[in-house]
This record gives sequence, structure tokens and C-alpha cells, in this order.
Amino acid sequence: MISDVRTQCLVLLLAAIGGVSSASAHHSYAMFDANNLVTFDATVKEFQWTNPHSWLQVVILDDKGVAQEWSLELGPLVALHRWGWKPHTVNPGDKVKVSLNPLRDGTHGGRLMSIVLPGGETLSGQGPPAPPPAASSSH
Amino acid sequence: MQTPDRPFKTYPLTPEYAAILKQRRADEAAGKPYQVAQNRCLPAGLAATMTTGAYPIEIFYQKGGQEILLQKENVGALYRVYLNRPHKSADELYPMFYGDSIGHWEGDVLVVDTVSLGATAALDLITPHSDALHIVQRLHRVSFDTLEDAITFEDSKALTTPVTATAVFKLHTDWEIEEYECTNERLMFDEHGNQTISKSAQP
Repeated sequence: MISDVRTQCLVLLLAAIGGVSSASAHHSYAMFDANNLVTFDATVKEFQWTNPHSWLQVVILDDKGVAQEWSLELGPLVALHRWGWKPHTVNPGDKVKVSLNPLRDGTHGGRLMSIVLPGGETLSGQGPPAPPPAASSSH
Repeated sequence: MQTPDRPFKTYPLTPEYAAILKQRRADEAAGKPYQVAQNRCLPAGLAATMTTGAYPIEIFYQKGGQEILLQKENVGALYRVYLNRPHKSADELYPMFYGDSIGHWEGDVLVVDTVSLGATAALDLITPHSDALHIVQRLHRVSFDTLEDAITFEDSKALTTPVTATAVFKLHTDWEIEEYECTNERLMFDEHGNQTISKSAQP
């Protein structure tokens, strides 16, 4: 094999074992409260299929029934498509259930851990397998 | 934050660099994490690209065996290994993200030696390294679809002893490397270093 390696133009495409199933770190996640997993019913406003992260803009009703827009961070496009996501996995107007680690500063945003799609399928926002949609609070 | 596949679990830091890490952790707990290069969509650098970010890597063996090109599906992660020359002289080197890499074969193991990595200051997302960081990779294709990369970090200023870990890669002939450049960076830091996100896509 090695003699072939040394005499041929060789291209290898490899992935770290376990790599595609883990979060793809691009920055510190300290701004999110990893010990607080909350679940909300939400309506999709926009899905940003982008790098270095994809983002889901959703509308969530607060405790007073007022619509609030939340920004939810997912993994990057390059990883999401290997985790089963597509550019139109979610679309504006979709009714979904989102589980997230909220921003510590109280801003309406968080790290999307999992989502239940309108058809009932659950996807992870950070890599398979999807974390369970347990909630410490919800509305 | 650490990913489960991270090859290194701990680093034997010198007291000076242990203090730097302690301060960075305190800052992070206060909402002001250390701003690694990739926070600004700059290249992660060789050390961090081998320890964080679970993206595939592509290896090109080219120029009649005189050069090997390694690309990781990560922002700007591309570097060449020269098998036909020694390291450049000290006065030719300058701080780089991926450094000056030379290689040679030891049997069926490719040994890659990299120096001049002063453009970054973190082995991962937080652990400090110095401009003396020296990385040796021993790449061994142990079977048709398995490549092991024994990675050694040596840093006379930051580490009390060299540290080695092995990353294991699997061949994926049906994958393509995607473009991973920043088109929508919403991570923000205010003037006090507090980390948050922007409310909409950034230009």
C-alpha cells in the first residue's frame, strides 16, 4: 500500500471517529446556560442556512401572550447537512417545538439543542443523537 | 467547550501558563470568554484545528511526493508539508496560523514537523500556548479506511513536558468537502469583552 501511496497522486477524505456526532466548536458556549434546558412551542420566522453557524429565528409567546422573536444558534451548515438537515427542513410559518439552552444575559436567544418538526420528527441542532426534549420550564 | 472527540484531555502547563488559563476560565465564567482567532472568522491555527471542530480533513499527495497538502473543512484550514527541504531559517520565519511544516517517511509513517505557530495563542478554545509551540504529527494509515494521527505538542514556555494524543480518522469516499467560511457571523463582543449574539445576520 505504501509504495502506491508514494507513487500515485492520492487524495484521502477522512473524518475523525465520533467527530460527525459531536458539537463542532467554533467559539465558547459560555454565553449559553448549559444547565438550563427549556422547551417552547414556536413558529418559524426564518431559517438561516449559513456558516459559521446556522440560525433559526422563531416567534415564541411569552408569559403574557406577547409574541417575542428568539434567535437560536445551530451547528454550521457544513455539519448540519451530515446530521440530516436540509435548507428547507424548516420553513417560515412552521409550528415547531424547540429545546434550547438560553442566553445567560436574558436576551431572547439560545443554543438550539433539539427541535420537533411539524411532522413529529426530532432533529438535533448540535449533532446526533438528538438530546431528549426534557424541559425545566415551558409554555 | 470541549467536544467529545477531543483527543487531548489535559495539558501539563507551566505555572505561568496555568495562571493564564485560570484567568481565561475566570473571564469565561464572567461572560467574557477568551477571543480565539476563529471568533473573528480568522483561521483556527494548526493546534486548535486538530483539537476542536469535528470536521473532515482531506489530504492531497502531490508534486511527485515532494509536497503534501492538508485541508480541513474549517475556516482557512489549509497547509502544506514539504518533504524536500528542512525548516526555513529563523530569520525567514514569522508568526503563522499553520506554521512551517516539513515531513519525512519513517517506514509507512509520515512524520510532519511544524514550527512558527505564533499567530494564535490557544491550543483549543482556551488553553494557552506560546510562540515556541512545536507540533509533530505521526500519520499512519493502519488500514485502507483508517488513519491514525499521533499528535505531539511541545512548548518549552507553556508545557512542562511534551504531550501526545492520537486522533483516529475514517475514510469517507462519498463525502465532499464543503465551503466553511463565515457568511453570517452573529457572535459579538462588546467593548468590555462580554460575549453575546447580534439580533440579525452580520454583513
